[in-house]
Amino acid sequence: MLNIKKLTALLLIASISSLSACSKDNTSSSANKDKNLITVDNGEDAPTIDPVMAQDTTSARVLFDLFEGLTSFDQNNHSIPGLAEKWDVSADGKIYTFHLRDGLKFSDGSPITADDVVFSWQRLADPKIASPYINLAANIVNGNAIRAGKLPLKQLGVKALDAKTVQVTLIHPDAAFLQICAMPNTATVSKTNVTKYGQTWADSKTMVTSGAYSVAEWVIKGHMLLNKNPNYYDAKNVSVKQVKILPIVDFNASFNRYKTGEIDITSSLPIDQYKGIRQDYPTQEHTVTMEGLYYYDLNMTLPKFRDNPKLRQALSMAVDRDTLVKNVLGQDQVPSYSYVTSTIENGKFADNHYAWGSWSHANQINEAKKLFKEAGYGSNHPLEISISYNTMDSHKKIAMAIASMWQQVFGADSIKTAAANQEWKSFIQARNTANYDVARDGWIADYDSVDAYTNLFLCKDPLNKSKYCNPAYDQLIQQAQNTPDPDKRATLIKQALKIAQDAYVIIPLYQYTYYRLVSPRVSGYDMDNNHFNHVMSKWYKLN
Amino acid sequence: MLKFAIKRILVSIPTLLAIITLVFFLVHITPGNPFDGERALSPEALKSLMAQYRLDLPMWQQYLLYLNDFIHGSFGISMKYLGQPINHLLFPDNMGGFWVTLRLSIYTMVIAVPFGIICGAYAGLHKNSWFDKLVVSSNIFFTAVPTMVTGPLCVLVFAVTFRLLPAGGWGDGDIAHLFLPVLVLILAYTPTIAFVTRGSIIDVLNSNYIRTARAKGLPTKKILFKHAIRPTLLPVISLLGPMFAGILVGAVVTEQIFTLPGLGVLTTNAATNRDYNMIMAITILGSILTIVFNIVVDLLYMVLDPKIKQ
Repeated sequence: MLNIKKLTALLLIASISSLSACSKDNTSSSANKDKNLITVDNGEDAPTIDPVMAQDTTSARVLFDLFEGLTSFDQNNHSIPGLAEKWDVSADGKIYTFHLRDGLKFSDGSPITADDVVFSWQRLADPKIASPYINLAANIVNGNAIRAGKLPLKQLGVKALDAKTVQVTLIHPDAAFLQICAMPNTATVSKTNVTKYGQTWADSKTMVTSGAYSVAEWVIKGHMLLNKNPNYYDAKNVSVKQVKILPIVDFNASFNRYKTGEIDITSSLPIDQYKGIRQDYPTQEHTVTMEGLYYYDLNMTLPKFRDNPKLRQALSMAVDRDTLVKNVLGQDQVPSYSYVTSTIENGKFADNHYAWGSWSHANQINEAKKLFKEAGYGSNHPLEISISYNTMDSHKKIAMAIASMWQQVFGADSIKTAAANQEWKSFIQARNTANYDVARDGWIADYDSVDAYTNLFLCKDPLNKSKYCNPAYDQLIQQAQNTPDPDKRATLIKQALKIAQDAYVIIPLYQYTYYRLVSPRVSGYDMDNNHFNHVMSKWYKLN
Repeated sequence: MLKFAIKRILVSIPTLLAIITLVFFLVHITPGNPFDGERALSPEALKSLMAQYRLDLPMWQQYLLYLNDFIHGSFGISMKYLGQPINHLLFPDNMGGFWVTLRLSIYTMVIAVPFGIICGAYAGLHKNSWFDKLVVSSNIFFTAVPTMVTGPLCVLVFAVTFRLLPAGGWGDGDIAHLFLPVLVLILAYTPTIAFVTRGSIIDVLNSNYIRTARAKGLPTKKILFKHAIRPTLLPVISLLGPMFAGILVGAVVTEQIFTLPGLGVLTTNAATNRDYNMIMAITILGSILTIVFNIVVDLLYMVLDPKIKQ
């Protein structure tokens, strides 16, 4: 008992002093005053630092520091000159001629030439390397044939005209091509370095980089230390000399280390403390709408969904997105009534949403009830439905909330819901093979192009998990892709989206947000308009 | 004794082989593969990756190739950290992986074992004293309050509130960074060691031969050090072997709370990512450690208990 009393006392002291000593917003929590070193949490170790192999934000975060492509991103996700200082586009929008900057060098001092750029693009398209982002090369002339192993790499439509000029020929014009050129996967690597070390070239000790930083040290699960690359073309504007990237999986641990000043920028926040943190750190906490959608797939291979559009619509209309976002989640997510976000391509498709989204909730429910009945379901013929999701608290909460919304709207005796909770990899496999009724899904766009969302509904796209297939939709999207005129393209895409949305094959729920704490000693990082969460350490400045 | 050790090592080879076989097939028949993700790979890319990792071969061939690699000292390449050899991840040149966990376990054991044994012995000798009650209740307390609770509490008190120590990380493996994780592990293991020692010494002191020794008029000191100490240590030693192996592969929670680059995080990630080679490597490592420590325990038993020697 003595022990318990002592511990309770200790707990009390700790909680009281933590309340009083809690480093609130106006007090600088940084014990770490080294102006040359910034410490940021990346949430996990980068699974790879080979640009073409990266497929996650963790790797991308590191790669944006290590490598640069023909173009780069600014903090508003617009493409800006990168290794290429300028470019010309042919009238039909299919040929891009990039002019590299003068005196470009890799981190080891060797020159960056057009050959290195061509080599990097060829690596991306090389089926032997198996890049998960090989599709970024699909629109380049011969890209698909090379990917299928039918043509040699040198036939790829990326050519070095001279040491400083690269020409890329596309199959059809692409408004987002300059964004693709800024993606980490298309970044320029050193041909000499990669050829010398072969498969093991992406070793932190021998790797040569083209970006603002190079790897000084990497302890897996410990830290990655980046040093400023003195040979980077814009080195004079890179303010922070060293970046320490930590892989802290536990958000609470990360938050604690932020509070003690060991970390300057967190990767996320402990969700259960979200509201408190927002209150305590109003200027340090940033919540940003992310370019991505959370939605539910309806399995279109099942007759009950495939043959019953009214049922699909009823299920979508019965979900009260406002309640879901405000009361179930509460992290400033934006309710969604569309298959695309309202922010993509500067809001070009913002008006593309279900008209009933703006109706009163009562009207939405009445219509949903009517459709459900017309679909042939009721207490005498109840609908049985299971919601699949991967093990995670937030997914579970959402599934529970939606199941109870459906039961409330349609009546508990008219719909029987079951939650099918699966471990991550088993879930992915079940969803990819259409082995589910309703499945949780989400998609985050990599760059500013509506294609990120429209591709999800193409008949043969591997990301089309609902297995919806309408040739008319595919045809309109293809037409849009072949149209150089941006307005005409937008019109065609809107027509296509209307077809898919009216088919109710997914239930769009909300647009994601991401959040992190940024120490007051960091300036230059303006994340509030950075919907894609592309981050580069060269932006940081330390006060 | 050497003969005994060799015999034990030889016997453990089939055990290890059985573990490898079982884990290999269990891991491979679990649904999902290492390369499944939110972004489905193109068929060409998937085919190429499967070939790189030999996953396109029949299972028995993969198994034989795996055994062959293992005999040659290689655990294969990680499927999560693409292209990184498992040996390098588990046993890196710089500080990290097994070396971190090993240091953590050694520091913990070096402090927890003598401290626990002394406390336990003292409590057993003074049964029902306040100290004895403290030992018993702290064992109950720290069994009920796991490191998942004591860890964050220590961070809150020592790091966040009083700013005496760092909240996590490995630093250069310096005392400041090691203090809290080692403390938490000591808190978790010492009470158990003390409790087992206490129980054992009470049992031994109640046994007939000690009573006989007492009746013969031997001084208490002599009874304790000549007759009681060896049998008292036997159950403690059989506890320590698996305990040490357990910390080496199982300090997952502590490592996660203090964000240490040890084996713990690698273990949990490996399972969710279906990093077949990493799961295999960690299971094999855990098995080898358990086998080795069991042999050590048996050898110590022989030293302590003359009955077994015969």
